[in-house]
Amino acid sequence: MATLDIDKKTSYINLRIGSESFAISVYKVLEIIQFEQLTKIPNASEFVPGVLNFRRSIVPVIDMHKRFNVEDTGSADKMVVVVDVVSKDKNVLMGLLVDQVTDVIEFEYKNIKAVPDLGIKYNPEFLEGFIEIEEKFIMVLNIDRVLNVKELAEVSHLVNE
Amino acid sequence: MDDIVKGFIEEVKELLLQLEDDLITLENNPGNPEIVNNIFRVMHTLKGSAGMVGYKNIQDLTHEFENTYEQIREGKLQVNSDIIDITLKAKDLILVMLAGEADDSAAERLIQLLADKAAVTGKSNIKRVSGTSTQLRVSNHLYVILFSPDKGIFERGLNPDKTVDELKASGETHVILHEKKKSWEKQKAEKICATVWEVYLKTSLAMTEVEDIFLFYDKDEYSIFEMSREQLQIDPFLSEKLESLYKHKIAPEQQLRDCIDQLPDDEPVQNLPAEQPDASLAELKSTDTSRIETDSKVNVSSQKLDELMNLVSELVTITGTVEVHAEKHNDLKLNNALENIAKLTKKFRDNALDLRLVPIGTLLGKFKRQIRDLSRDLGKKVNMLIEGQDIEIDKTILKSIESPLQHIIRNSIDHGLEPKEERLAKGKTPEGLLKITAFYSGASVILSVQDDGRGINMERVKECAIKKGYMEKGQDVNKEQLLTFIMEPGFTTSENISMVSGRGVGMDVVRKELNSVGGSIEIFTEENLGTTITMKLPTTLTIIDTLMVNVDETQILIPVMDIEYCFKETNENLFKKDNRYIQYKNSPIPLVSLREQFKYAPSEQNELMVIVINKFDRRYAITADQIIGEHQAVIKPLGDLFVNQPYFSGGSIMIDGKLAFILDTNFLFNHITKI
Repeated sequence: MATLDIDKKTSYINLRIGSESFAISVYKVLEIIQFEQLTKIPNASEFVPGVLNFRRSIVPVIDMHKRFNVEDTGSADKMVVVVDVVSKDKNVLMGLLVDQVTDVIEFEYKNIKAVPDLGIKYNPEFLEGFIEIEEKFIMVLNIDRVLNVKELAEVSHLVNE
Repeated sequence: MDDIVKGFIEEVKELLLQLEDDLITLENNPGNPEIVNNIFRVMHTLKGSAGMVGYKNIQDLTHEFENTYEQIREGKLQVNSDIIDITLKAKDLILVMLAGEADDSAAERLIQLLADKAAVTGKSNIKRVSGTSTQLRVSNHLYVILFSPDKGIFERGLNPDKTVDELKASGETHVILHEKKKSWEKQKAEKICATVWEVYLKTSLAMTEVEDIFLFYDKDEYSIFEMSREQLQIDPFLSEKLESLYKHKIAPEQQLRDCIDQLPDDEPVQNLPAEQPDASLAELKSTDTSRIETDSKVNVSSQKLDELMNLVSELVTITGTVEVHAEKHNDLKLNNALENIAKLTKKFRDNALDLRLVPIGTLLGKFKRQIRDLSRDLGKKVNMLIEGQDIEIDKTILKSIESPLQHIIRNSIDHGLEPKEERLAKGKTPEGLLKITAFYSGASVILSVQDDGRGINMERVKECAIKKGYMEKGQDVNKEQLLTFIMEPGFTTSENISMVSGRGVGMDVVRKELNSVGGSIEIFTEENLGTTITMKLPTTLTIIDTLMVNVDETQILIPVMDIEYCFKETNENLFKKDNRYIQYKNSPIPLVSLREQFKYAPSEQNELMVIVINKFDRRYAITADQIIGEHQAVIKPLGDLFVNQPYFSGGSIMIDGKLAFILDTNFLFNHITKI
């Protein structure tokens, strides 16, 4: 990502998980794919409904409903947003399973408001802040933190004991 | 600690790394003035900086070495492996000094050692060059030596020049250099040896003594035979004999005789100058070198190879995809063309795979030196045998087995082989045997390290296992299972921890490293007869042959190299009984249901496929719903997210773009044995 200019408008992908709207910087997104049948990995936890073949490598898909503890409304337009997250010094590809990708929005970084300490049901670490557009609140995701590989790896698999 | 000292320590560490590198390079090119200069400079810098920050001990130590390398630089002293050895030790000592843990006596001892060795080498060299030793003994042997080091000789840390010099120093010689296309100097620079030396040696040394000069070389890298002048005159088959003794063509008989005639007759004379212009030699070069098989090499970075491998892998999968689609069109011409493409792709793949393969000897050669040093340090005489050096294996795998193998060898020499007296008391030969064997077995390579030492003391293993809580006291555990405990973390039976081994970071690490490249390990031991450790390794990491099976909707790939047998069996016969064993070849083997392992609902099919997995002659069976067919799997990593899942060693993309997972047969095996 280029150096962050807080006065300049940058593009964000606006997506819906459950009834809430979230934004991810376009710099993080590689592709948005129509949700299809995923390949299930045996014994994987419900966080990881499966993997997909993305540009000929194996990419795990994370169910954002489970990650944010939001009820899955069974949307018909489910999408997988393939993002590039930084884990330690490596880049890791992951897919986010979301209900809908609505549009691309633009705003200045400086307009992102801090997360209030109270009244937010999400882990505040997951959010950069929120932005208000047309009287709607959109939460801006800190996707590297949401998809912390180490943390996910610990919960992504259950071993038979 | 203040910043200056911190900075100093950083600087020293860097310098020491460079020093070590230079020393090893120097050992291979003893005459290289540039490297000697480097070492001298490092010592000088160390001395200066150490003085500034008050490390007097480092200052004193480096001062001595600075002097020694000064002498070497000026040609007053010759480098040898002893001096390099001592310098390497000094490097280690300086590290200890930095930590402030060294006592002064260590430095004193080292300095004394340096003084001794530096003096001795000086003398012995003078003695050899002047040829006094030959005057004392009758020089009545004439040897013809054909010396053709392996092309990768430099990787084994050997320098043919040194060996030839040693020959020259041991009597009168006439050396013919068959350089092939590139000059020997150039070959040296490129680290690829393609030169053959033809040496005529007249000396007082006995055959075995001459052979000793070639201690570090393989039997097929040199041949020595003795002949008498008479023999040379009357034996009409001489040149054929020479040729049959050696795979390369050598000089025609007449030239050979000429060469020998050039050798001085009776009284010892000066060595023949090697660079002497000689018409017959010039002729030899022009005619004979062309007959010697050329084997030129190109150095390619492994990154480029990986990239190529990746592309080839893609090509393999895509070709498959195209084939599937083309079948629907029923176009003969298209199908024919595709068939050709598929064939080419396969060849392309095989070739690309081949590029990554290196002979196992490149690694084993390194160990020869270590085994020798180690056995000398421990005062045990070790007779080492190495077989199958030309077995080829993926470079990455070879690299990853280096430290496991080193560990195993050290264990064998340190713990396995007994001291001479103990061996004699047991009625064994005084020298211990250490045999390293490599051979192909199906798609894998078997590498075994065998010693004829005391074997693993099973009683002690039992005690330790009880102490560690792997088993109850009085519990009946068979030997095989006891041996698997050895590979648990922190397991050691050694009472005293030595420099060499016995710290309990051992076989578990070895096993882990082998597993990470898809290999496995097995221990076989018999008290007082010895221990054999066998490693099974895949030849390549990127593509493996697998059998594709269905478990519910999941496609699982099982490496073909692990499969012994497949058969159909009714669900009822398999699972409608109390135990989880099936009869196979008249003995019961454990049965694992993949559906159960994956927490899927039991199959409602009447018949299931049973696949018998064979890991080192220990078998277990797994059940799957269906066998789909063979699949050449291009292995793709599952990624960091799945580091904690133990069932699969990777994934692969099928020709229809779907994904399948490669079963980790090692994990299942260990998993079952634990139940």
